[in-house]
Amino acid sequence: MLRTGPYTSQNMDTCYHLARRFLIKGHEVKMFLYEDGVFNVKKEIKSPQERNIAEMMAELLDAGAEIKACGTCARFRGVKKADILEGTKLGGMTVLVNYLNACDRFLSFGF
Amino acid sequence: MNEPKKVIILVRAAPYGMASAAEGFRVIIGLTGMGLDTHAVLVDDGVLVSLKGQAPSDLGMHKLEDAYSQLQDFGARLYVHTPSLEERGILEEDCIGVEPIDDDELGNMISTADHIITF
Amino acid sequence: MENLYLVTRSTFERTAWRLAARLAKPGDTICFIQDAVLAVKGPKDLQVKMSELESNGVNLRFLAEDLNARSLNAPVSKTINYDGLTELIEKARRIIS
Repeated sequence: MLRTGPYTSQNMDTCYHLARRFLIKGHEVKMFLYEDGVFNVKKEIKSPQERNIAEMMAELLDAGAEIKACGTCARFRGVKKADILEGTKLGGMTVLVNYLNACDRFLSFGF
Repeated sequence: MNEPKKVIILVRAAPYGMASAAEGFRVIIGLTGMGLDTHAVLVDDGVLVSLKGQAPSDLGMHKLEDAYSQLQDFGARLYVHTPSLEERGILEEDCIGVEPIDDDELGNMISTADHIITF
Repeated sequence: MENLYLVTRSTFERTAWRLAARLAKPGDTICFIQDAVLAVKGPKDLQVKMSELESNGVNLRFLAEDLNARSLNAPVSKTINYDGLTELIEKARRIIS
């Protein structure tokens, strides 16, 4: 669960580096983006001469990660379905509950 | 059917300055409503959530004291970390009805949890 | 390992590390990542607490990539990289972050 946005804290980067390694090792990785975390999948992120967080998310998706963002959080922040990366979805608390029920390890990154 | 997963939600942030305590509430209610064995613990600055007499209407925000007061009605357990209360000079009698919990009890509770979420 | 505590915020912000320090039990690991790798510099009460924790069988680890980024060093025996952190997460029963 990632609660912070891109380029504001290191949380997204920590998640990326861990997720990449877990996927390579054959684990399933599921990310629930909550609060400002939903901004990490905005497909229009532009970052000249810097790491591009949307591309990092797309790389995780390509490698098999499942990424869903809290729909209510998105609505509160004016983020629409059309704004987010292909392959990601908006979802409710059911998504988080399903992840909690299914996963062996749960990490939360916030403040 | 499997036992429901036990999830501890540590609310560490004071109310209003950050959205954390309010967002934590949404998660506590959601998880409880969907059958998880949900235990919310107010710890560090999060103990301020339990202080009676909050009046955030001038801020245009919901009163978290009232929200958290309802948790037990929804089936979630709500605890307050007494060392965090003491450090901040807050008396239990000035708080909404919460179960007091010390370091040992919190440590033991964590040791029986499936997952921990921090707000 | 039962519990892995992941501390992300600077240890000079008082509450960032204290919950982990007060709850960790023998055999648990506290891993300092992001700004929390500043733990190698203090504050002093943390240094004392860290020695106490280690005497009690709590393992302390620091993430190499985050140390390097900040020009900080920790003893080699306590430094792990992302691959090591991945293994710690695999071994832990639960993670408190």
